[in-house]
Amino acid sequence: MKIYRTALYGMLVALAAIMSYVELLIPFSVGIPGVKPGLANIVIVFALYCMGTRAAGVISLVRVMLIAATFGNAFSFIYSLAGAMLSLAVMVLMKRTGKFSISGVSVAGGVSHNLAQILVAAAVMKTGGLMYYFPVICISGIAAGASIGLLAALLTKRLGRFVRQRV
Amino acid sequence: MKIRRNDIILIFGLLALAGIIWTAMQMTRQAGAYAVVKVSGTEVARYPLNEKLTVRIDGAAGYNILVIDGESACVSEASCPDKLCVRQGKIRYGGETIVCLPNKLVVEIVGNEKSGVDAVS
Repeated sequence: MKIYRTALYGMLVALAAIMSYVELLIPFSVGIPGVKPGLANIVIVFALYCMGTRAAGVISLVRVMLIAATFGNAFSFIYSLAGAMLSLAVMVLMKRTGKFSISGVSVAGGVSHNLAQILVAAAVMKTGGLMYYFPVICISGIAAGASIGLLAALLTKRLGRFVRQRV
Repeated sequence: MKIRRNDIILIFGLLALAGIIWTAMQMTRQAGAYAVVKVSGTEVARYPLNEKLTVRIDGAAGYNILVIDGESACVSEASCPDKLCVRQGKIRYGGETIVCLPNKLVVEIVGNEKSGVDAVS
């Protein structure tokens, strides 16, 4: 069923990319670079729970590359990639423990996503002072992660059975 | 989807961590003395906060206008697309920063050279 998988991945990547694009259009920010709702993660979390780790990883990676190629530059690509990879790794680990709900996993994903971006920014700018933003990262990561997780959980419940194959 | 107890622990744990760090930062903040301007990691200028001046700083991808008004510093104008640096507002305490990622600019407030300890032997 390789064609099915290709089509499904393609659709989800497109969806995640559109979410990212919409976020770029709305100037949502609290003044700290990199803090955003992370709407694309709705798709990623959904993929993680309905299709497995590999699917989520592939979709996340392709989405990052697509957005970076169309709307980004070398720097935004690095920030985006770091955030996506760390948050995915954290979410996979949290999910494996089996002790957290989808929202909890998403909260961890949100916080680690922001954290990765701040760490990359600190490395690029060679300034340690950026850790000053840590409390904001936590709060915004929790808020974004919890909401995204809730939406992803709803989607998983309603749409999961149409997709639930270890593709 | 049910909320599990571990979720609550996670969220409160993170909130507590954020709160502790924030409180620690508030309690150890010193009055700022200088605004240190770094582009791509290297210091290009240092301005005392008790002066009033406006200066243009050229960064990696454009410019930022730094304004010091005698007690705080802020970026009043910038060439970057997001203008997040402008929206950051004023900074005045040690450790606070204004960052412009596209221009690789960091404005950091530094206190006097005294640190928390009075003597080290």
